Amino acid sequence: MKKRLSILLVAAILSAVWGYGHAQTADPAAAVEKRQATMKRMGGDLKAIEAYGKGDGDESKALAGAQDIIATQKTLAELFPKGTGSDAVPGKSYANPKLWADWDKFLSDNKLAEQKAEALLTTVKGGDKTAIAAAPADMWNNGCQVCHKSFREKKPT
Amino acid sequence: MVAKSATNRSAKRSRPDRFLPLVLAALLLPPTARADEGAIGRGAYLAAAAGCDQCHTDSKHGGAPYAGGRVLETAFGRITTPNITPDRVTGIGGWSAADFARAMRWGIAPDGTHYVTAFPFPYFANLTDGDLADLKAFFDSLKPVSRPRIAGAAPLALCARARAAIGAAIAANSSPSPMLPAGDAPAARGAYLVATVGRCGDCHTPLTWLGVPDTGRFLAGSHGGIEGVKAPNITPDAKTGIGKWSQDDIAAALKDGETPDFDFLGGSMAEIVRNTARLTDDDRHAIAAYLKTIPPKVFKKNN
Repeated sequence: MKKRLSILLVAAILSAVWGYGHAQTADPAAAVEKRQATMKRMGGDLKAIEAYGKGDGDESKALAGAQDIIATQKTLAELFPKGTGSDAVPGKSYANPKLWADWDKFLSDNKLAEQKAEALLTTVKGGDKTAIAAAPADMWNNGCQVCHKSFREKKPT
Repeated sequence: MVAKSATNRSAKRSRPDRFLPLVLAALLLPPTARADEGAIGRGAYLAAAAGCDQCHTDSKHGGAPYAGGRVLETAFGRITTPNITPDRVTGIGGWSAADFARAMRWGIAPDGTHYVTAFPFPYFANLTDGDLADLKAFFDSLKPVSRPRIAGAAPLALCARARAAIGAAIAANSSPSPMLPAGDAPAARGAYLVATVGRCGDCHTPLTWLGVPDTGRFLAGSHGGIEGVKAPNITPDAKTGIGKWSQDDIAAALKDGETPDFDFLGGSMAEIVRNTARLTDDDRHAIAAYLKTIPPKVFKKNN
């Protein structure tokens, strides 16, 4: 019993150390590709919401978009495995390596974006078209861009 | 002028004749140097706007700015960009103003060979005399860097050069000068920046089979530009162009690469934004104002 407990304990410590903060990735280029595709998808979500607010989109797409952004924000850190910055994948990655050095700031920016996304969903559900049309810009400028301004490089170096 | 002649008079009164050559030199040199500094500054701004350093720097391998060496895969084969620092042997240090003007406007090197249009001389054909002089002053002011020229692939380059010579002859008669919007100063300035200095059509205008820009489809997007890059339609067509972008949207995109579609300008355009970010706000707005005035064209798949 004691032996089993200690094995479990060692396993727990090992997995905690392994999973601490951020994992490595086997294929950095693929991770960057997946990250950029996900970011583009969220951009599409915002466009769908804006279109719905402006009267030329549909409600189900807007709702699904807002829900997708919330779900993605909740697992966003997984899209940033260590070793996928502009130093590791030059010419493809726009992520400044200081993102991993300042991981806590990244997480707090991420939390802010998640809260903005929750507010976005509430607005979409509220049905006020004027507010819905304006909400994506608020999400973008005060949610997404907060992290972009801290860690997104303007161009690959 | 007034200050200069006043100094001249006092100099004549107070100094013996044997110092006259020295005095004259002292009087003549400082104003010349100042004029050059102005020209160099203006030339630097133009070079930044045109992004000369972009192709003429091997930034991937830490090459010196403007010393060339970047390898480009073009429709004309693989090209290693030349050194445009004023090194007399490997750069353009031995060029006269006329050599420089001929190369920039006509794509003809001092030795009489023709450049392929990977060097966007059809766009630079409309540079004003003053701007050409300022650019030359700027390049002459750079630190000479010795980097020997690397020749491109020979057999294909011969065909390409022949084609470029024909293209150049045609381009001379139909250079991609846009219609200038009358009575709209910012848009006219924008037209010059877009069509001539910024050579936007270099990627955004499809080429004819001769490798010269198709003026009828100015900025309507291209499937295969430099390095096979796809460039979108930037005419104000609402569906296939940027008709939905406001003037402020365009200016903002040129400043920090952010588009109104909750996205960023990527790929080669991210490199271009490095140039447009160096422009003044007025010039970015001028470009935007002009892009709103050009005829909308629908993007075609075979561009």
